[in-house]
Amino acid sequence: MTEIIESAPAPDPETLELIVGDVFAGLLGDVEPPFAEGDGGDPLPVLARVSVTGTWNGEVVVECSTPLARLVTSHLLLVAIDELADDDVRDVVGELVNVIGGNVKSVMPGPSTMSLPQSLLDGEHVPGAEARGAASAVRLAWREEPLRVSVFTQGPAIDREQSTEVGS
Amino acid sequence: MRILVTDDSRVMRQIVARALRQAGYGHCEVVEAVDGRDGLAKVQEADPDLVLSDWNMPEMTGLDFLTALRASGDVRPFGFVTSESSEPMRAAAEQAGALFLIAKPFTAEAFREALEPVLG
Repeated sequence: MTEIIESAPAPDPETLELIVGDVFAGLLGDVEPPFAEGDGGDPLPVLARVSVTGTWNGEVVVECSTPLARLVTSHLLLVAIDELADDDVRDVVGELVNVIGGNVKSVMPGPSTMSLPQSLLDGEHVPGAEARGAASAVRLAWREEPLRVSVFTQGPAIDREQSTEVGS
Repeated sequence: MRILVTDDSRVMRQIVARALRQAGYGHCEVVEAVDGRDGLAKVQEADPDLVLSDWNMPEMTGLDFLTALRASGDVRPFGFVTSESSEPMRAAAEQAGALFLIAKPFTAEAFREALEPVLG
């Protein structure tokens, strides 16, 4: 008899796409939302992640091209792209995953605690390593630049210590 | 009138300040703090009429910031601006003495609705 181990739930790709669309609209104002691009494509060099622990355990990862990260940063800070500092870009992709992660956390069982975001720019990690084994993922394009949002789960949450802490 | 905006993200502090202007509070002076600990210091220095705070920050979380304020007897209006808005979190915020919780991503309208009863 085969034992079936049910993995922890994750939002489906359509939900992820809706969340990303809302986040872009909320942060950037009246802009067109990113649209689904389908799987595949080159590894993306900019990465930001947050982890969630508690009733639901998982990690939300945003990967994107360097031009997209700089474009979004430029829009948010109202600063020309060639005048941006790396720390500004790091801050923006961190906030992007923070808000997307917070919204993912909101649709998962709680209570749980979310970590502070970690942001890595081009050259600070090995691109593509995050793309494997996601429980749910969506690859999008915004202004012809790629963006991928992945949710990794860490197995059934029932064996894990439940946290009463909340945060985001 | 003065509003303290507490968030570890410089970008988010800027976006909140922009939303405040769009919501009709451009006449208010915005003071910034980078985390709860800095927020406590800025409350003493700037004596703001309203404190807005992120929840999840290094050094001191927004909830700890609010708890410390209330423990010191400070009852000035305090609201959260945070990336998640689950019911347990809203309940914890309310219990600690927060007047409102604005979820990111937000609109200027969300700020208007939350701030009008507090600042007019």
